[in-house]
Amino acid sequence: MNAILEKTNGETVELDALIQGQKTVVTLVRHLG
Amino acid sequence: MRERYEELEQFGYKLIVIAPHKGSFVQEFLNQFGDYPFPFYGDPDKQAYDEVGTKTMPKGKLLMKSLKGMLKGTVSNVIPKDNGQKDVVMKSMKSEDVSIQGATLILDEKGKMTFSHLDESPEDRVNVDQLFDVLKQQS
Repeated sequence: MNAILEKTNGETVELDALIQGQKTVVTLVRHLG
Repeated sequence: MRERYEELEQFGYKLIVIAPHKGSFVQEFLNQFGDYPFPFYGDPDKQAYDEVGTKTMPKGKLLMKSLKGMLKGTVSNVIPKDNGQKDVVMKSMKSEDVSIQGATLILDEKGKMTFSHLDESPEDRVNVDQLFDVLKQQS
């Protein structure tokens, strides 16, 4: 899970950092709306 | 899921949503559709989609589905009536490869995947009830 994602403020974060330490459901959507 | 997020938290889970857009566009979406109790992230290069191996629906098949939906009147129902929301949805659909399909993953606290569903089509996604069924089985 090395994907680099963009926060809404434009900062970036690695997906791996988001999913560590707590059980997580990740939803990848086709598009918003 | 917005309405049942507390239930998800009771299972000890958090939720993150990844969309194939720039982070700034995700913010535009949130400005129109309101706050959610879980975070959204943009993945404009579709790195997560590639890593997970999400599927794509052939454009011809997608076109046929759209035409059928227009004839049945179901496609117009997915376009919001509110002008601001409608603009965001239309921009979202026009700016992205709509053949890309979604996915739902469940990960333990170490990041190990305990469930994955790769959507075959827009209708093939895991709905909220199905998600909770899986979480109940895993708990």
